[in-house]
Amino acid sequence: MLTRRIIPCLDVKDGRVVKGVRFQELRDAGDPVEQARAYGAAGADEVCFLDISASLEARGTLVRLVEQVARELNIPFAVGGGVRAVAEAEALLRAGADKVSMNTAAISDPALITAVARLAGSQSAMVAIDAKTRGPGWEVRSHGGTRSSGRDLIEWAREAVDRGAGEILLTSMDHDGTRQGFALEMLRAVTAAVPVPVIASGGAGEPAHFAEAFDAGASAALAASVFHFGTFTIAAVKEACAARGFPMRR
Amino acid sequence: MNVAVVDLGLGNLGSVLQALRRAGGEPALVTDPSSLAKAPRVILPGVAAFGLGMERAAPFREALHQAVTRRVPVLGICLGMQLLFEEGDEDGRRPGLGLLPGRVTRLPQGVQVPHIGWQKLRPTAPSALEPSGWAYFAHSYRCEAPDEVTCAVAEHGPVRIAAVVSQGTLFGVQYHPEKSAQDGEGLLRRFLALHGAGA
Repeated sequence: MLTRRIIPCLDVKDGRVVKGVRFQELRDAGDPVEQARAYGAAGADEVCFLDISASLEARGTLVRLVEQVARELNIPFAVGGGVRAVAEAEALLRAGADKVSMNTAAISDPALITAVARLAGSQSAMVAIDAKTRGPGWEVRSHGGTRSSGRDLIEWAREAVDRGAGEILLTSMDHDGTRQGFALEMLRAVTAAVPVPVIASGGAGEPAHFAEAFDAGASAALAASVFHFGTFTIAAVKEACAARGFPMRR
Repeated sequence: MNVAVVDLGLGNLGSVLQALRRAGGEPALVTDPSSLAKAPRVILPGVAAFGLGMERAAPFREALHQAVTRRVPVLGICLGMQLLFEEGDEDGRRPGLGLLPGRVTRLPQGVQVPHIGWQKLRPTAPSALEPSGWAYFAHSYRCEAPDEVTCAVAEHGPVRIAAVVSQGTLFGVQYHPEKSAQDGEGLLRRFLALHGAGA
């Protein structure tokens, strides 16, 4: 049986790991390669690198960092941030990334998703969506969450999958940094709307929150600060989820 | 060099090369099919669609068939495994390398596609690669491999996935040993320890 995945996220800026509380106030929390290796040893099922400066500052790709991480890491990892063209995605995959995550660029040019999926297969084409409550539903935010895209979350998630996305990384802008738990209603709505795995992100504050996300349909759950600052361990999360009946790799 | 890695110009090459080095291998990337004539072992990696994969693999068809005939250990990983079969359905029906019997079809409706994540392998027949433990999968198509070439499976809901296949010195793994932590590294070590008649 497919196990549910726990994914520590390393937000990277200028080659260092940072975590924005509500996407602001960045705190330095270490070297990306060291962190990835430590997370692998600690039982992470996968690691996610997001270059949070990329969309804001139009910086290039993380190819060198990806090469370094691939040398050290024996579990899968995704890389996102600044992926605007197929050639950039190809360079990241060739350097050792298992998946590339597309966000702002996919919104402005959805054909990018199809092109990456054609090249590398859907399982390597991840679409990251930052969403925020709007009216009865949710709207998609772009540019690191700073701009409204005008798109409805559910419509965009469906379109992304139709265009070839093999996984959706869904971040709640409302819950991110609050540690009050994942945005369960939003997760239920998205996992019901698309057939591909959905990764829950934003709001993890205690191990039980991960089990709640899986209960809401998430295939994987992602967190950053709770792991970086040692609030609890990945093993503790897996234990809590296994106790709730979810299959976990332990 | 103790293992040739076929360069199809597709993604994932970096991961495979690095994992082989971690497993004690000395991989060499091969772009010229004639280089396979002297390779003691061959790995056919690949992360892409079947159609594109076959386009790139077609020039290696004869060299791979010869390697298998010489009983050189050959390992296809993920798409590389799928290409070993007779025919694939992705991007329209096309012939594969035809080294193993069976077709490659899309995972059926009713299960999550792509099949992404970790599962425990269930061995079904003895294999020199001794597949066991945790395996990381990431694919939308599966090989409909007959039982006689299947040596380990994983159940994705009601769907049985041929996780490891073998026939003589030819092997295929649907999952990614290069990304499957210690268990995956163990499988790569065992592959690197194989000696074919031609090696």
